[in-house]
Amino acid sequence: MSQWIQLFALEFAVVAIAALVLLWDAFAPRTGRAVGWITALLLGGVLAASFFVDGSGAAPHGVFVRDAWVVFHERLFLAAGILGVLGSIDWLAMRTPKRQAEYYALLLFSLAGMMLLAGARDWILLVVCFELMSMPLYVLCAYGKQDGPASEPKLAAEAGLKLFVTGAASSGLTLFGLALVVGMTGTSHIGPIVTGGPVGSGPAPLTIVGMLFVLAGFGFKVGAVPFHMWVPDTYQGAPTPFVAFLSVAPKAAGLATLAIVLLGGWSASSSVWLPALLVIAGASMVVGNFFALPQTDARRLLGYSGIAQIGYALLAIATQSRGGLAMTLFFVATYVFTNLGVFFVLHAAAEEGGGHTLARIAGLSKRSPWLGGALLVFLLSLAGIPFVAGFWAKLFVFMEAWNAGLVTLVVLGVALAVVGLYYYLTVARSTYMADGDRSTPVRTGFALGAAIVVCLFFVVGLGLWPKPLVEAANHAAAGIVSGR
Amino acid sequence: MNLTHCLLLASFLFCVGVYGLLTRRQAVAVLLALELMMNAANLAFVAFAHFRGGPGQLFVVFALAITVAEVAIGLALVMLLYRRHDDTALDRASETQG
Amino acid sequence: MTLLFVLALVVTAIAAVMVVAAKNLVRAVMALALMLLGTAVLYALLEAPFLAGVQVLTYVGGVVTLMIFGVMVTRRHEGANAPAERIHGFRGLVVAAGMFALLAWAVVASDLERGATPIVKPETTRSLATALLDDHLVAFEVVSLLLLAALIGAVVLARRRDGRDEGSAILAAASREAIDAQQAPAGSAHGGDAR
Repeated sequence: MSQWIQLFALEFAVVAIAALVLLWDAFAPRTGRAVGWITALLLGGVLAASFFVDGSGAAPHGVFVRDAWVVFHERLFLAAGILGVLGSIDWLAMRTPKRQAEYYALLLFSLAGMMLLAGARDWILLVVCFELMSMPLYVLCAYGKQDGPASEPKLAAEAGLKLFVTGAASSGLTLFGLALVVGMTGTSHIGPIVTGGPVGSGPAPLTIVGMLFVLAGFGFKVGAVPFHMWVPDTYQGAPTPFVAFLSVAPKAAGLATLAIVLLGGWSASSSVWLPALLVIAGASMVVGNFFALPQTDARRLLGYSGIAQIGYALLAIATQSRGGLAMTLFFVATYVFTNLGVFFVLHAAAEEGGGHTLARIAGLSKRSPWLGGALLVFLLSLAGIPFVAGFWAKLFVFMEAWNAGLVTLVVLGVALAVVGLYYYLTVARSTYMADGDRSTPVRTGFALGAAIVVCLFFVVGLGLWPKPLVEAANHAAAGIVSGR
Repeated sequence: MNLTHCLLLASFLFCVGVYGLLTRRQAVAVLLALELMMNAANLAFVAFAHFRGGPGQLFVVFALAITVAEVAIGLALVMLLYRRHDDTALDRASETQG
Repeated sequence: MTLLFVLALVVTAIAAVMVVAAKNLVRAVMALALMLLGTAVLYALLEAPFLAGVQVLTYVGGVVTLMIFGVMVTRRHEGANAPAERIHGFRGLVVAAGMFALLAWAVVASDLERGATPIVKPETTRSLATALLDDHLVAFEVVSLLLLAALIGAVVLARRRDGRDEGSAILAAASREAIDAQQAPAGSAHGGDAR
C-alpha cells in the first residue's frame, strides 16, 4: 500500500486538490478569487514536493514506470497547470463568479491524466489516461457565460463541440488501430511489434495499418497536418485563458505519448512509421506557417503557428536519438512558457480592446509599454530570435535533425522559420507601429500579471542560461531512448 | 465463421461510421456515427480475443466505460449548443475562414 | 451456429448502413439499437457472454435512451419526425470506401487463417475480473476518475443559469450505469475468491 502511495504521491495530491476545491465550493460558495488562489498555491506546493519525494519505481506488471522522464513531465505539466490557473483567476471571477470551483476541478483532473500518461507503459492505461486528460478539456472549452448578447457563448459551445467531435473521432481511430495491433501481437504492453511469422518477414499488413491508425489518432490530438482542422476554430472560439492552457499542456502530453509509443515501444519498426512521421512533420511546418500569414485574428494566427511548432517538435522525434528526444523536451518546455505568455498578454489586451483581431490590439505598447514589451519577447521566442528561449529550442532541434541526416526537412524548416518571423513581427508591428482607438493603459489583474511575469522570467532566463534545462531534458530522455 | 469474417465486418462498421462522421450535419447524428466507430473497434477486440487470445475483452470493458462517458459529455455539449443556437447543425454554426 | 452467425452479421451490417442513411434521426437511433444488439449476439457467439450482457445493458439500455433523449430535446416539437441533413456526400463516400478498401486488403493479405491457430481457452468472467483488478488495477482506478470527471463535466454543461437541472439527472444516470458495468466483474472476482 505504501508503495502505491509513494509511486502516485503527486497524482494523489492533484486529485485531492480537485476534491478539496469541489467541497470548498459546496460548503463555502461565493468566496471570490480565493478558490483560484488556493488551487494555484496548493499546486505550487505539489510542484515543490516533486523535488523532495523520490517516487521512482514501477507498478506491478510494469503498467506504469516512474523515472526521470515522468518526473520531468510532471513538473512541466504542474508548471503549466499553475500558470493556467493563475491566468484564469481574474477572468473566472469576472465572468462566472458563481461557478469557479468546477473549472479548477476539471483542469486538475485533466492535469492528473497528463501526469499519469507520461508513465504509462501499457496500452489500456495509456488510453484511459488520455481520455482522462481530454474529457475535461471538452467541457472547459465550452465553459463560460451562458447568457449575454455577445456571440462569445455561442462560439465557445461550438468550439467545445468541435474539439469533442475531433477528440472522440481520433479516440475511435486510435482504438480501432489498437484493436488490430494488440490483436495481432497478443499483448497490451507497449513494446516491440513481435511478428508471428518467420524471422525477417516484418509485420503483417494488418499490423502496419493498425500502427498507422494509431499514429493518425495521436496526430489528431497534437493537431498535426492533415489532422489540424480543429485547431484554429477551437482557439478562436474557446475562452482565451483556457486556450492558453489547451495550446501547451495537452500538446506536450501528446508529444510525450508519441515518444513513448514510437521511440519506446515501436523503435524496431521505425521503417513503418518513420515515413509517415516525416510527411506529417513537413506538412505541419508548411501548412502552419503559410496559413498563419493571412490571418487577422490573433488567436487563429497563433493556432496555425502552433501547428507549425508541432511540426518542428515532430522533426525532433523523427531523429530517433536520445539527443533528439531531449531536444523535443527542451523545445516543448520553452514552448509551454512562451505560448502561455503570448495568450495571456493577448487575453489582457483583448479584455480591454473588445476583441482578438490584430486591429483591436493595435497600439498596445503605447498604451502599456510593459505588456507590449512582454508580447514582443514572447513573439521573438516563438520566431526563434537569439537570446530568448525559443532560439535555443529551434537551434538544438535543427542541429539534432541535421546530425540524424534529415537534411531536406532541416532546410525546409529553416526557410519556413523565416516565414514565421514575418507573421510574428506583423503582430509585433501592429502593437508598436499602428495606432489604436484608445490610449488609456490596459489594466491587468494581479493574478494574470503574475502569470505573465513568470512566463517572461522563464523565457528570458532560459534564453540566457539554457544549460540546466538541457541537462534535465537529456537525463529525462534516457528513460525512453537508451544510448547516444 | 472465422477471424477474417469478423474483421471484415468490423472494418465495414468502422468505415460506415467514418462516412457518417464526414457527411452528417446534425450533432446527434455525428454522435451516432462515433458510436459506430467505437463499436467496430470493440468487435475487432472481441474477435481477436476469441481467435487469438490476448487482452481484447479487457480492453472492451475499458472502451465501454470511455464511450459512455463520451456520450454523456457529447450530449451535454449538443444541448448546450442547442440552447445557445436553437439548432444543432454543425456547419451553419461554424465560422471557418481558412 | 453458422446460420446464426451469418444472420447476426448481415443484420448488423444492414443496421449500420441504416444508422448513417436513415432520413429520420429517430429511425437512425433505432437502427443503432439494432446494430448494437446484433453486435451483442456476435459477442455471445465469440464466447464473450459478459461483454454481450454489458453491451445490452449499457449500450442498448443506456446509450440509445440517451440518444433518443438527445434527438427529442434538440428538436422543436415535431413529434417523432426529425429529418437528417447531410453534406459533402460524395467526398465522404470516397474517403470511407478508400478506407474500407485499405482495411479489407490488409485483412485478406494478412492471411489470418494460415497455420490454424488453435482457439484459445475462452476468457471467463472470472479471469476477466482478475485481469481487471490485478494486472490493470491502475487503469481501473483511473477510469473511476474519468467517470467522475465526466459526471462533473456533464453537470457543468447541462446546468442552466437559473439553476434548473434538466439534463444533468439523466446524464448522471448514464455515468452511474458505466460505473455499474465496471463494478460487475469486480463483484464476480470477490465471489470467485470466496469460492
